[in-house]
Amino acid sequence: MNRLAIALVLAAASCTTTYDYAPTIAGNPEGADRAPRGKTSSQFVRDVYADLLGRSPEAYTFTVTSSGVTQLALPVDEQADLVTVLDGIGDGLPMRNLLVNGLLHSKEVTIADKASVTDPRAFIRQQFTRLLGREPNAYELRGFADAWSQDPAVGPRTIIRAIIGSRAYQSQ
Amino acid sequence: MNRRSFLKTGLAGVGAAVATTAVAPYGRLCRAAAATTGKRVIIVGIGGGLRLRESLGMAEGATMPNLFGTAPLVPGFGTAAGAPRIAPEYKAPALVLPAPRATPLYTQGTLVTNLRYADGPPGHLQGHGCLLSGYYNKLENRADAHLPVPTVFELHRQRTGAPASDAWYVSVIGGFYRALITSDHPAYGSRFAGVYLQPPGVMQPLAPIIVSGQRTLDLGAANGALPTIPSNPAEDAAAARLTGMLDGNTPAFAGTDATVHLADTDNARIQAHLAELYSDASYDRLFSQSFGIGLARPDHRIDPTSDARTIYHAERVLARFRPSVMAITLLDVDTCHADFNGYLRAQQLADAAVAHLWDFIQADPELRDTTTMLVLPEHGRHLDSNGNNPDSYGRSGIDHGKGDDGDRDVWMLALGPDIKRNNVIAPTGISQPGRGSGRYETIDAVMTAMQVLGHDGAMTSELTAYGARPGLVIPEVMR
Repeated sequence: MNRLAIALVLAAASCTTTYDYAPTIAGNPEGADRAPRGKTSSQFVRDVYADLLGRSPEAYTFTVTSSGVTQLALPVDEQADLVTVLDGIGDGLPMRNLLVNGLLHSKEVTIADKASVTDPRAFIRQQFTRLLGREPNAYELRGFADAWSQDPAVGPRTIIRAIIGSRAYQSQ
Repeated sequence: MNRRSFLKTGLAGVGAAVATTAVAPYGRLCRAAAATTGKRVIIVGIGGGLRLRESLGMAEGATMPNLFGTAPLVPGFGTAAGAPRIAPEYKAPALVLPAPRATPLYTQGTLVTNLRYADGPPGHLQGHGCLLSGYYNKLENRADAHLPVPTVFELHRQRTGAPASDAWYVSVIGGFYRALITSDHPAYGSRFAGVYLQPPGVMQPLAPIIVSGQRTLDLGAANGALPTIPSNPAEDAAAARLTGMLDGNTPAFAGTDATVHLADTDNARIQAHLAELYSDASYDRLFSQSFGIGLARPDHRIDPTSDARTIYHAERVLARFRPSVMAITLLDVDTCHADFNGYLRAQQLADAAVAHLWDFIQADPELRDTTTMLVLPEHGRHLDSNGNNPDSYGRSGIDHGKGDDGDRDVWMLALGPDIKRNNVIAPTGISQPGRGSGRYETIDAVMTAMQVLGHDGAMTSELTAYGARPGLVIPEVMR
């Protein structure tokens, strides 16, 4: 009875104008994967500096001395200069990988020796979380851990390089 | 040493601690399998606009003696050519050039002296867009402006299944030119793009310095070596395998992504190539002094010009990847907008660099027997000067773009095993619906290159379907 009364009240109060809305879709259809879009060179440089060095790219002067005398004072803009390098190649991924390798050998980054990592799985999980913002799934964790144990070339730096080189990291 | 010269030469020569070892021989990998004709084409576009008057006409002296010798090859601009007429105030720094060839290259191939860049704006992007597609275009100068018809790279890859590393675009200039590596054509596009490389942007010593984290370098210190990016092929391969595992769980990049994404195998090969260059502590692999072309420095070393560095790395790419298609954009002559003498000097350098490239090809038996090289200006320059920076001879800068005969009268030099030798021609009476020039045109040069690769039919079909006038194969050029 109450429902009927409410319906009558609403009907009496309703306006005469009705609206048709076009159907809309929020997000991708269920089950569809989101097609990633690549990071620009600029985005990549900022991200990798933050993730590996914990700082933003900076501008400074690189100086070369010999016998205490300055031979060269070179203005460097890390962001702009590296973007120029990366934009000079159509698919910048090979150069990105190379720059990351250089950063991981730099004075600013300390990478643990493979032998000093007592729990490789924990290290792998930590890097996934740090760089991709998620845990590795079981398949990924097993694959990375197996490579760690079986391939002498796989160590802490390789794990980081592999994750940063991935489409997941290279995507916006 | 200023930043500009540093970017060109690195620290070489700054101090005794800097090694200057010669370039180690580059390892050669087997070329990726591809169903090609086995022939190769290189299109060298002298970008920036080069007039007939100064090149073949030699009105200011023999500026391109390696290509054309020292006697004018077209009438009307002078009867005898001596050394290039460089105003005294523009002679420094001196050019470093090898002695000119005893026999100019035009005698080894075919020279079309009356080619016409017949349509479209005589602008850099449009001119090179034409050289890469055979299509007179009006591309906007935007970084995302792609050609509407397939490029030579896409045609080749789509028809042969060749990997991207079989088709290279090596360009002095970046920016908008990067977009020329792929078209917007729905049946082609970035999945058939070639490899774009801009040596002056990529191949420079700042990258290893920046990523090293070093902000000072004491050349006298025990560890005073130049920073490098260490190369470890085993680690590279291991990282790539793990990356592949991750990528197997990640969707492919969106088809509408503006960035070209090459196959993993192509990128692995390119990365190995770059790793070799950047792991060299002398930085000589970024530009080897043995190339011998550039500007003289007070310490007797060579500053590479952008054109020289580009040709040097084009040779490295040829040696390692042995592509079927390569396009090269030179641009140093474009200094002519404000520096007429720089324009003449850049012609000398481009001439020497192109001859060096041809000699490099001839020294490699496989490349020698399979490579056709076409050299042509992207367009010319105006008939009149712009008054910028007049020199002591009263000559000033020259622009391009308004489309007068100076802008549109160009030439083409073709060399290779399928090209007629000692053949200087200026055909007229060439007819085709829509062709007003009555001459062979820039689009014909591109079509002739495509015939060498067996893609002329496909290029004709695509251009016709788009409503564009396709170029003609130039039979007078071919053996």
